[in-house]
Amino acid sequence: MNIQAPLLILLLTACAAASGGESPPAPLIRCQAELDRGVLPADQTQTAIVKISLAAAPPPPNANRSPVNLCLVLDRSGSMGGSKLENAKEAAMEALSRLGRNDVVSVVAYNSSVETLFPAQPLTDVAQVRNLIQGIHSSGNTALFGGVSQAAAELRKHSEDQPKGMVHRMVLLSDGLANVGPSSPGDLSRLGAGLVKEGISVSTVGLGDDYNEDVMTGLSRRSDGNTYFAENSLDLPRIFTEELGDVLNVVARDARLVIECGEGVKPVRTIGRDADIRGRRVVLDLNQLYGNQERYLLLEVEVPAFPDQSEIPLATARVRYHDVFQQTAGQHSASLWARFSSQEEAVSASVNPRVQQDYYFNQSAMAKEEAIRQWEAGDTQGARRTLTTNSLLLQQASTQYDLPELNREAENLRQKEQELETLGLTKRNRKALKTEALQESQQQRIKRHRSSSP
Amino acid sequence: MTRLRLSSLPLLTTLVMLPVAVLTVAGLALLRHERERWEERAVTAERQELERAADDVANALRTLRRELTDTLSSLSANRVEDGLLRLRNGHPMVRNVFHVSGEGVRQLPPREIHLGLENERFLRRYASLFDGRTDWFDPRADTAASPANSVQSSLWRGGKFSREPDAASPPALRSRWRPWHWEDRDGILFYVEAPQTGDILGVELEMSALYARLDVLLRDMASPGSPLALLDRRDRRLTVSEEPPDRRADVVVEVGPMLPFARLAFYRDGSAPAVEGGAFFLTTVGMGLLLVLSIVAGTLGLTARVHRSRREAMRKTSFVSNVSHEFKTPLTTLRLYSELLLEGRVSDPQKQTHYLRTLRDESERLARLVHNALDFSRLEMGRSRLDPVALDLVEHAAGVRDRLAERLERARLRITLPDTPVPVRADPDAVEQILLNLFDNALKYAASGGRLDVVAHCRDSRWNVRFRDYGPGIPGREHRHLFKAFHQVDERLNRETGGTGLGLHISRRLARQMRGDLDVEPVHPGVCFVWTLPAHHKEPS
Repeated sequence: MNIQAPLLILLLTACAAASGGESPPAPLIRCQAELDRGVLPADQTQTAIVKISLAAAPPPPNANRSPVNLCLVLDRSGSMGGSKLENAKEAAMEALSRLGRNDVVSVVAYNSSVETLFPAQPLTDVAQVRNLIQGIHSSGNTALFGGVSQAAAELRKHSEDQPKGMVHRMVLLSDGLANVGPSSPGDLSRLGAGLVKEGISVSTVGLGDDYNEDVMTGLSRRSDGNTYFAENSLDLPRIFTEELGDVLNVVARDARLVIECGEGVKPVRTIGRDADIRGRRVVLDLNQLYGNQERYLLLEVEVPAFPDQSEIPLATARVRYHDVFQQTAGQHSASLWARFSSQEEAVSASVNPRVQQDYYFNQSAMAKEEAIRQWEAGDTQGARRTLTTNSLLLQQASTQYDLPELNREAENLRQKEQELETLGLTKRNRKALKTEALQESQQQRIKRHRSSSP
Repeated sequence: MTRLRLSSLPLLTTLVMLPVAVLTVAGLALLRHERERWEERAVTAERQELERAADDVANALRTLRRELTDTLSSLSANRVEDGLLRLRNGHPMVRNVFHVSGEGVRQLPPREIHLGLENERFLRRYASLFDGRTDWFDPRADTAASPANSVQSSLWRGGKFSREPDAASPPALRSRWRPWHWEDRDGILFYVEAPQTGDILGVELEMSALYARLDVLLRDMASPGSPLALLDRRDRRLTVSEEPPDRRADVVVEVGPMLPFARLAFYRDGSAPAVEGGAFFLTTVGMGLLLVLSIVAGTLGLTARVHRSRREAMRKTSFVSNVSHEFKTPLTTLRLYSELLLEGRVSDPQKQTHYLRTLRDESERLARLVHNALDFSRLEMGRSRLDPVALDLVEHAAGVRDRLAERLERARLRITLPDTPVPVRADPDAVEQILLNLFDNALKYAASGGRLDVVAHCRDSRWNVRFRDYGPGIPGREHRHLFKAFHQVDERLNRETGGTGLGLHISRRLARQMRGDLDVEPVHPGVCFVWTLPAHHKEPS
């Protein structure tokens, strides 16, 4: 494989569209660029939507997975008492059983204070960790910030030795409002933004109805981790298993997607997620990519007027990443060309339904977040109007592009509007809105586990 | 002897308690003084320790400053902005970066970097600086001009830009560590002036990440139960080693110019006893307990004593009133009858004889009462001296019976005595007293039974002599009180029969003094007293 690496890189740097051959091995991360319409109307300034997707291949067979540096951060505040804590312990122990001797594990428990139950070290004695977890009791308040800070310190012990050789991951469980130390969504988001620069992603598991989903999603979203909402603690083992599945399935780390727009093309904004836009250059950093998973960026660009039948390079996208199997740098790139036509039929026939669908789903996500914001600012009418307007927009697009899934989402928005009218913004339907919004915009594992009981 | 001990108890208690109390008070005062001294020393020690902790925090920040200075000053002049962006994307402690170049022209990379709200807010936060309203190197805003010292801190290690402070001194750069208060939150800007161009290159620190590192540092420095907290200027907690109690901090020190808006606070462990408290606490409790015990013991002794005195006083009062009452009756009769006879108003010789007999009976009764009262007195004073000799109980009993013959006849009570002699060793006076009391009892209470049988058995050189009557008997529950002084089965004031309630008490005490006993046996009908007394083997002469 090592001998083939330079060849591989050579091939990858070539245009993605050209690399259709069967003989070279498929790239680990494949970059693909699409336009919402293959043919743009000629002779007019317009905005277009560019979708750049990164598709990760499954882990190569027989490849050793990357060792994991995992820290479990468990809430042992008073509200976790009873079956909640027991199920959480069970889930944590279950998760540990999937790790091996090359992995590093630490366990931090927090309530009014923070305690490192098991300092970061290779997992040689599983029974010892199990006993420590088993001994956790619940009482006191929720020093969430302290728990995360301490866990980061534990992870840091090994991130220095092998900054790229390990998957650094924190799994944070909480069922309540952080009330010791910094506790606002902003504080925790910024903490997440700091941690991801050290290669640490935080996956958050919110349990029940009482935690602050803005704090939890802010932290996970900013640090490129997963977000889980569990209504019932019985779902925890499944969530921890899924999370471990992701952690063990990391194929690339420290990925950076750079999009260079063509001459005269101006990036306006990204849709759904934040990225740096500077001049004609757009940069998106991802802490890791999981095998068999696709993540994408939607970019709105302003395209100047071009004559009929012209074809221009609209953008090139390049992803660079660290291959965790080869422990080498990898990259792949794609070019996007736009054709222009003055024939309306040609334009409308070239509509790319996949990009349209992603675009509208992201619009819907933003509408949900906006509705929450409006409702909480006291503008209840505005919140409902936002949902209704977007529902109509989606319905229209559904008919126009023949996308039945958009119609279902339009129906969902109408239903959410109805719920707002009858129930108001309850803890539960706020979490539902927030989760859906994140699911649509982040393509991260964001799951809301509903309890199985009716 | 008993009396002496009883009366000296309160005195003894007082004698013991007084020094104990004095010692305790003196001890407490001494301990209190000592405790204050200890507390003072402890607070001083705590303050010193907290100042060291604050120094550690400040040093950690100086290291960060030094590291940032190195990074910013090493950015190559023509690729400054790329370098700044790399710093922002890679350094966990950096939130935003900025670049100001040229005279009056401020070129800020963030203006072109689309980060939505974050970008706008960043520009708004530092608007007065970016708009030129505030001097970049205002000498008044120079909070931390001192260069980093040689303290090595691992606090910032882990970022991609970590660098150990160089031993060589940094190039002399104009730089500013600038705390910034905006919308009631505190942030820190750090910037340097590029030596060649005079541009300003700077970063905004990621305060959450900073607090997260300090959070771990505080936890390392604090001991569990004694939280350390970083407070802002309004005493809000920026970060804590663990949740502090809901009260004012015990010791607070300034962190200094690196974090001028923050103070480090220490909360003493509320659950543990006070400083150096173990021994103090135990001594105080021990002395307190001793004092309380002495007071309780003293009080109990005094109370018991008072109670006993009161009971005795009551008994004596009751004795005096009883005895006076008993004396009064025969005396009244004596006076009345003797007056009648003296005045010669009784001419009938039969009546005269009757009166004279009554006079004799009543004087005998009076004598018996006086005898009993005196005996009791003697016994109580411990002065009664008995002189046991060999005698025949039956002979004495017959004598007493003869003396009572007339009353017995009137009461129609027949006393049968054993046929054979009962040789015992006893004091004759005491024996007669006991017999008199027993016969008198039978006369007073059991005459209705018609007879009193006296039976004697000898076993193991002791005689058990039973006095069995067939009267109304005594209820079982009264048996154990029967021999108590001043006790009477019928305590009504208008009771028919008189008595001091001393007869049986005295009899038992006399019997016991002669190494015997007097007790009562349950029988039906009537009452059976059993008198045990030592036998005398030689035939009485």
